[in-house]
Amino acid sequence: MSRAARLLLIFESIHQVLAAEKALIEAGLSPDLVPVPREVNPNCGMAITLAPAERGRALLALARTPPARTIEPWRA
Amino acid sequence: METLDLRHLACPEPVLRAKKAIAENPDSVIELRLSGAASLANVTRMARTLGAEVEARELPGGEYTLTVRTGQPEPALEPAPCEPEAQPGRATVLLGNNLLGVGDERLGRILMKAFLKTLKSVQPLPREIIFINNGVQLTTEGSEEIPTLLELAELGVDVISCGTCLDFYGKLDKVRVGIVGNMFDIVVRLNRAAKIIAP
Repeated sequence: MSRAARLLLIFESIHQVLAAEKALIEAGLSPDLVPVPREVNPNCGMAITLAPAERGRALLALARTPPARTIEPWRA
Repeated sequence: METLDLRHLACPEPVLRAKKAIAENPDSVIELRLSGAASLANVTRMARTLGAEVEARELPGGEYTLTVRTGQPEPALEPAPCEPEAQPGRATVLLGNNLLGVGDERLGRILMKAFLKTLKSVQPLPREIIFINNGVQLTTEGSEEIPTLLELAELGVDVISCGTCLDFYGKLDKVRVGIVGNMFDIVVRLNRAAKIIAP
């Protein structure tokens, strides 16, 4: 199945993932939590994906707790 | 023609009694009186799995008459061990809650999300996912897991929500993926499962 490319945000811990999800929702964005393989992120098995067009607004919303890494394009 | 009044019996009693009647009356016609759409759906599905032809007629007051033409008994839901349909290796997943594990609710929510999304990528795919008790929150309106479950269903995974549980939570008309099953369905599926995953 072909999937649209997404922006993947990697965080250092699950607490950061949860905080980021909350901040993104409050900013009116549509984050989706996804499991990621250990080779992508050894510290936390969950990450956040967004539509690529939301990149700018997302990084602004996460200014205080920026992701450790971003991957784009990401296809599940 | 035998007539059986199965109205106002608690689930899964109508299915059990209808199944017995079908088994005892091969190559004949049985008329079943039923109350409630869920009962009608459950009995109809069971009868068809036994190879019977069914015709439903709606009566006033949410009641139904189901005419069942039975054939030779074929217990399709209880296959013999060597029947190819058994598909050894495909697991049955039983989810009794909308959260995964016991502990923090936020963590339980995302663990369930991760679990369901990861299920899509395992081989062989599970044969079915059964949702009971608070697990039916995942298959009903408002669940953020509906898209994942729809994908699993498209991949051939049966998604079954416990009808009694839906009724208890007032969500019988809010199911957005899969089918509604009763305890008979659920126990038969668990009993024939190659393996059961109940995280």
